Amino acid sequence: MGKFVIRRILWMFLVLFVVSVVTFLLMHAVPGGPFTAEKRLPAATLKQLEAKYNLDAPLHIQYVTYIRDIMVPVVTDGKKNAALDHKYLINIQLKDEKNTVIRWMDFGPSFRNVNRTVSDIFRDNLPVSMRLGGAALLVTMFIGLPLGIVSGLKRNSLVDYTAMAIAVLGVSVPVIILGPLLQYALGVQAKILPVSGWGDFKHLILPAFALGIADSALVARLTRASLLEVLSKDYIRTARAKGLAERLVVFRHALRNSLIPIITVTGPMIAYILTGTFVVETIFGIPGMGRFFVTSISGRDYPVIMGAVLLFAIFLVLANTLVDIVYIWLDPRISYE
Amino acid sequence: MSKVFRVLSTLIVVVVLAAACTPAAAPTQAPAETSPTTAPEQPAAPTEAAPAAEAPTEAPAPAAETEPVVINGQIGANDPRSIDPQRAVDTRDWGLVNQFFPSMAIQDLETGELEPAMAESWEVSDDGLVFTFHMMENVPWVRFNADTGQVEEVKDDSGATRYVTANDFVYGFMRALNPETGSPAAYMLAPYIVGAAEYNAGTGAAEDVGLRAVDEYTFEVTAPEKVGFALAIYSIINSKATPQWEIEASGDSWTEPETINTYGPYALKGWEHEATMTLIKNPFWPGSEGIQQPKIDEINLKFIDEVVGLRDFEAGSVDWTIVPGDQIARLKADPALSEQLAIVPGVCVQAWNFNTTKPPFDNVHIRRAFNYSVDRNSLVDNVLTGGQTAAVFYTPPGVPGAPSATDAAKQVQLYNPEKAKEELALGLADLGLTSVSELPAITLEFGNAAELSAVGQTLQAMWLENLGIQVEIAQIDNTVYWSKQEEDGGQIHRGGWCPDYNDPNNYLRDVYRSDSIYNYGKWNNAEFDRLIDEARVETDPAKRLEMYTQAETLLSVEDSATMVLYYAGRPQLTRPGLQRTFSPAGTEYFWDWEVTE
Repeated sequence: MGKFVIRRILWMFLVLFVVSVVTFLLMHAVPGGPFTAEKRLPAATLKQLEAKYNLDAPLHIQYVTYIRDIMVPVVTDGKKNAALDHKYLINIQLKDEKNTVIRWMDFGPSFRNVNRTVSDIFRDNLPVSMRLGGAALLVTMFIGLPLGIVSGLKRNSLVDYTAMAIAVLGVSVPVIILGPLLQYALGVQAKILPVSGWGDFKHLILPAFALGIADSALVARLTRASLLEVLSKDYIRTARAKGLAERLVVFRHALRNSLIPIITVTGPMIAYILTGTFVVETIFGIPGMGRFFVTSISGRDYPVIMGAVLLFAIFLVLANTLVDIVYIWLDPRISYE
Repeated sequence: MSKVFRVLSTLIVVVVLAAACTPAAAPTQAPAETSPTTAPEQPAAPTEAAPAAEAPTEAPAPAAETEPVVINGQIGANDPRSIDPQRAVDTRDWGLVNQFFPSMAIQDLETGELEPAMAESWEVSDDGLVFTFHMMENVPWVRFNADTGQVEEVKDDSGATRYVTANDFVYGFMRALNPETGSPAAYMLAPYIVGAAEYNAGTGAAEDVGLRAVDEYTFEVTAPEKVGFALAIYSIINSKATPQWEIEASGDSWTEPETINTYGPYALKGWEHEATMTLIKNPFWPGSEGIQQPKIDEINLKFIDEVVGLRDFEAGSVDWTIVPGDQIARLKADPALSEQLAIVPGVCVQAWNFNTTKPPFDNVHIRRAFNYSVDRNSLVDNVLTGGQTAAVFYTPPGVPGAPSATDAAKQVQLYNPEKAKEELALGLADLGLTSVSELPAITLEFGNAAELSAVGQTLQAMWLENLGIQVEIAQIDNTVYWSKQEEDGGQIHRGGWCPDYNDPNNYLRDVYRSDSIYNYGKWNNAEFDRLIDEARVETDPAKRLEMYTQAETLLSVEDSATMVLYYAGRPQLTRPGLQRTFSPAGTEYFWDWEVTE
């Protein structure tokens, strides 16, 4: 198991390397740059800006510099330095006599929000998305799993049809419709919950629900299908033939095995949902990471594009590793050794 | 047995919780608690702002004392790009910068006249080249202290209060011009200060720039030539005092609430990036003719989409918002909301250029034919309906020195399908063609916005109807469009302009002079160049107006280098009881706002 995890972490670095190179080349290949604007900048100003941000260097040098700034830690003395605090993601103050500070992972400045750095964005905006995403995942699972289990067990009953109708509705109503509907009903009309904003628990409810509901429908349908398939397996018949109580047959034998496909989709879902979703964050005015995936690309904000893509890649690899570990737990036949 | 089930049934929830709630699981995640020296401490603002958002004007406040007046507003989606005076990019940035860092003078919103803001008075030498500003002497630098909840004066190392001095202005101006700053507005300032253009281009020395602190509170600017709008230039966005000590200590991140130093009517209380910014009244601002002491104690600005802003407004959680254009019909029909709706004429002009080097638009008759067959009124009334005003001239009528709306209307009745057909016939004859089918394929190019696609399709339909010409539409990603335009503007491409300063010079000479970098249609007319060059330095307003009227007519009618279509409007909703300014440019003067009920 330990060996497996280490291997996966090593693989992650390879994945990150490939992802970073491809992203880097692609974003530089797209026409226009970070300072391309409706009101173009004079050539001299443009040149100054490119020099300031090292954009006039050859591409491979830019790439190497970028990676070096992330990987190589620097050590500074304990003098207060706000500029460096913002620049580096990790600043660790040692308790020695000189108050040495070890700083690590400089993801570069944002070209669009010129007084912020990518580290600032990770620090301020990522936790918001993670909180929202975590809440949405809870919504997904608390609605999706019970619906799927109930309709799987009571196949072709009224309960099944009702549950699946709800699921189809959940999948079919996109969040871009559901979000404003919720806002209008509960925010504008009933005035129970705030329309937009972030900070308190009450701000979390509508967006988490809007974001979680579509995936919960997916989970419900998947659970149902998977449960039905498992219930028709030979070992279930054997269990029943042995005279086991139906409750045990379902919960001990069927459910456990039917969870595997659900776990499989949950991995990428975690990565998507925790790193932020543009639409929900825009509709509910939430200061999360999601918008940066979109605005950085349309604005050619190179360091933010790189940061966002790498972040997502890390989340995806970690979530999938987690899924693989859960497989072993669920199905002892699976082994990675 | 049931234990196994319990484990399994809660398994996913646990996994999810673990992933969601343990930031340490993600290597890129390093919140403040794991990094003691980082301390990007958010001031208490976010949690304080939240309850306030619920109840706009009755924010919870300690009893007894008079309750602070707090208002909440929507101010466009996404974070401002910068509130650093020398690095601010768009008009919304500028509006915020004005709250924190007043210029020497500020334009009166109604009269357009420049009034003293940071200066008490100024004089101009007889030759019109040397501007001497006498500054207010009692304006301290301030910052918001999150620990005490008060705006405090900034002290220097010896403990004395730092006052805004002429040297701070020299530093600010020089920082704008310094090539290393990369100020996007430097090019506006540079031509109007001696030696500045050379310094900005990296060929001149800092000592040769015509800026000087005569004494502690007297600031002097020397212009290379006499122009009528120099004072407006010295009051534009990057012409501000800036705190050298903070910028040197904190680098590019100095505009964060913990480190920013300001001196204007409002100070920065909090900034939740991508969500809200809170301005707090600066009690140390003495007030001046142009910028009085503010009446509202706190202003929460929400960075949300206008569609969301409208919903927030209807829910009562913001006091004013910009309104999406497609909602105006509904709002006008609503008896209550229509009272609260105001459509302010904007300063941005929407125009579509012809590339005069590309056939068939190298022919003036073809350009006129296309131009004359566009019905602006129909476009504005039937298609856009977002508070736009149909236009013929490039400079909006409110700009001092520009032809008035009635002048423009008298000058030309542009939409004329008959005349358009005549021009088309003349053009075809010039080109030796017999029918429109022999014209080269024509493509209409524009960037990615819903409004533009509506305009593009309307133009396409009007040309088909009036001229029988089918044009192709090419709508592309904005950044790709802009970079393409820099190299080579399309046959017909979307142009338009939002001004940097309030003078026809900025609309006409800065955009359409034959050597301007914004002249994407590559139009070249010696008569036009002569007119705008002369008007630039003309001091007699009557003569100047005459020249600009001629130039406008040449540009948008006679030579039809561009089709001016409309001026953008700014539809806004404001709750009753909030007295406010309506700035055409969107740079609101919050210090003039007042809550009356």
